[in-house]
Amino acid sequence: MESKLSRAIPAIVFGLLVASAAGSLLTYVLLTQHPAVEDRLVSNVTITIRTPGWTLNYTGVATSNNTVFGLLLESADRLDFEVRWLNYTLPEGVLVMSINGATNGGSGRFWQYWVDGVYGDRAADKKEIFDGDLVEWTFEVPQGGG
Amino acid sequence: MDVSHQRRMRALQLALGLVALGVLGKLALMQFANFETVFVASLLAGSLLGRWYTVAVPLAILLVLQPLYWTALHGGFALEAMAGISFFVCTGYLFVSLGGRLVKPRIVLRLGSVALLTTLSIPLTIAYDLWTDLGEWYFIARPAGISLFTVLQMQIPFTLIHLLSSLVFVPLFGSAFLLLKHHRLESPSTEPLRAAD
Repeated sequence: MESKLSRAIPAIVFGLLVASAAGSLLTYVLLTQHPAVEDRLVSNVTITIRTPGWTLNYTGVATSNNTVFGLLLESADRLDFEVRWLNYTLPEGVLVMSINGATNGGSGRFWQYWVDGVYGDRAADKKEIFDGDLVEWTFEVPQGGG
Repeated sequence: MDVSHQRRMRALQLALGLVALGVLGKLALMQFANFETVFVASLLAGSLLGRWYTVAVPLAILLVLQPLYWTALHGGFALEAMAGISFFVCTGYLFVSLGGRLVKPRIVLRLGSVALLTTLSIPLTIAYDLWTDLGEWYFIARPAGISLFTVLQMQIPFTLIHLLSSLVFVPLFGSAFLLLKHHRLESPSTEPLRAAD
């Protein structure tokens, strides 16, 4: 007759397998998260925020807000417009939802950022900028089958 | 109340429990992208309940979540603008529940069934993410000149989190709902009464 322990072994093995797979995934995700950007002074950076209806420019500044998101918030403060965003914990980062009243999804447009013409590959608060960088926030319109 | 009506009511209660799991779990885990309970609720709807619950449970969850997600929580998202992406999300979860439905005959109160659901959740998670990525690329990234390859590349960390979510929630809630189903739908009290000798 099987003992209770021998009947429990498959459950224990399964539990250990799932736990180790989950643990490995979690470890990998945490280790590969983009690191926080250390504050550094950058100079001559420009941010352009563009929708089909209006454009905002904040040009040639020197700042210690050396991330795309930090520069956006600084320009919002200086040019007096609102930015709304979501904070995510995993993966850690912000998602910008609205700039100056233009909100993601409105008329089918969505906010995206580019640094020196290169599409942003990470959360805006994890993207470091350097001297002379041009940051563009664009409010794109889907072409819908075009 | 006859036995079949009793079974139907209990199945409905289980379905409502799955809807609650999907909605409340998603809302509670909002800060964790792709760490969610809609997937496991859809999978269990197909694999444990089957029948029209396969479609009704994921759709009910999304009917609550999608408008909530895009208006009250994300403040100002235009519902009509999200219709395209919502189509991919809805059909993606329907695909997951149908995947669960395919294995329903093999799901019994055994560890092997939980293992089967957990194993099945891995390719289903990847397939779901690929499908919704296609929607995100078509409606958001493509007009900006961003390639599908770039979108898929950027999806990788999110899919890893989604896999983690499946590995945690499928065995956890799969076991719980399997036990509930066994005790609520398959217990002796739902079997026909026998006449006394």
